[in-house]
Amino acid sequence: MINYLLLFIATLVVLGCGGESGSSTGTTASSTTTGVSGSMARFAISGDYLYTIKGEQMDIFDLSDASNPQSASKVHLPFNVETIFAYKDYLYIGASTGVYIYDKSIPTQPTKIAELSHAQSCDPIVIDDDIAYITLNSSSSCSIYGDVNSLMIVDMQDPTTPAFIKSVDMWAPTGLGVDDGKLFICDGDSGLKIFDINKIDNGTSIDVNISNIGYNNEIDCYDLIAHQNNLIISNKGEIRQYDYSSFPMYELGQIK
Amino acid sequence: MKSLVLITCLFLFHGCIEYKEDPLCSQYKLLSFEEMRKSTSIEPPKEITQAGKIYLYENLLLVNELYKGVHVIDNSDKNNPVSKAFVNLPGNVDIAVKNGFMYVDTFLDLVVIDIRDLDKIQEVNRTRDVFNYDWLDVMDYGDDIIILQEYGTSTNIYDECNFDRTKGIVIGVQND
Repeated sequence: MINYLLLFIATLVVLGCGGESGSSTGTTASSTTTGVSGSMARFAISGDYLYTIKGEQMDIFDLSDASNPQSASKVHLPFNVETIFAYKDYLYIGASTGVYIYDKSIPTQPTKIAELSHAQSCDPIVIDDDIAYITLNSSSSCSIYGDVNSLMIVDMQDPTTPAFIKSVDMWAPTGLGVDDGKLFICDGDSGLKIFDINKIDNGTSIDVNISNIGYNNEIDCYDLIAHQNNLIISNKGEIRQYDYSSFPMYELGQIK
Repeated sequence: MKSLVLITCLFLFHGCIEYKEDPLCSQYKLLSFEEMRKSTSIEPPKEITQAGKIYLYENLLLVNELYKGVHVIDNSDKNNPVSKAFVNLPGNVDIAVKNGFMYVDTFLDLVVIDIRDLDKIQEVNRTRDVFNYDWLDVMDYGDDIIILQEYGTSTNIYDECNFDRTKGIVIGVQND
């Protein structure tokens, strides 16, 4: 376990900062409604822009007229990417080699400001309350050398210098979601795991403890959405949904 | 079946004749971009067979059917979700929505589907040729076809088999 921790700390690489961090873009959220995607998404909408990633390319579309998107710009990405998550002024891009953080204060010109390298694996990422949760899975097709299955927790208060907090061993995690202080993880044959998140501000650093409040190995789970007490789970063959306003959760209507 | 593929590609891919002798090349199934664009359509609800990505928009749950399209599900009553339509979109894997307009990929195009009225779901816009389509790694396109090419590998069936990239895409191999 200590070795794993050291490995993660040692491989936490932070690039020098650049770009236009700090300036906020006045997004007019009032008239805009968008939805919530699972953690495996390669499309993300932020403000008036749609960010798409395919292979080594990010395409940015201007959605000022929602029915008529305009190609705004293209950005070459250094590695084959898999997931994208928009949070505040930043894009968090999961690739097989790590997580890349782009500053998008100029929406059509995202600039790479930091990178978290780690063992080769797939790595969906979600962020809540400035804390990033990333699953590393060695059993998937993205993993060539890695043999790490874990959840990595990283302080993203300053995205130019992500601060590794801890990693927690998992079975074979894939999709994940966070909502209202709860973390939901699809963990391979272990099924669905649910954690309470306890964030502790030590003044100089942030610690995050997670405590398991439920698991269900009967639930076959690949990706999920947790939103306003509605948990939606995709296991490739079917979609199931649960109400998590209280635990144990109860199952809602299944979709076939 | 193989002859059908050959005839199809004689029309769509001018280079097809040259690979006729090569069984490795003639096994591939091709989809022309013209055919791909014509086949975007709104169909009656279908059963989910291979769910891909999921997206929640207000009371709608959108479920990608891997490489085939999007199930549009009315989730207003969470105890009784109702599938309302299937949007047929070859190659689709991703979904996002803003203000009732759904953005979806279909191989190399970005398509906008108006989902504001579930009785009048329709394609309203298409940006052509924006995406790389050879990012696909492993492809399972129905019952009779599997695999494809790996992204960034040296194997390049387009060049080896003289397929014209500007006209269509290799979507798998015949499994017979």
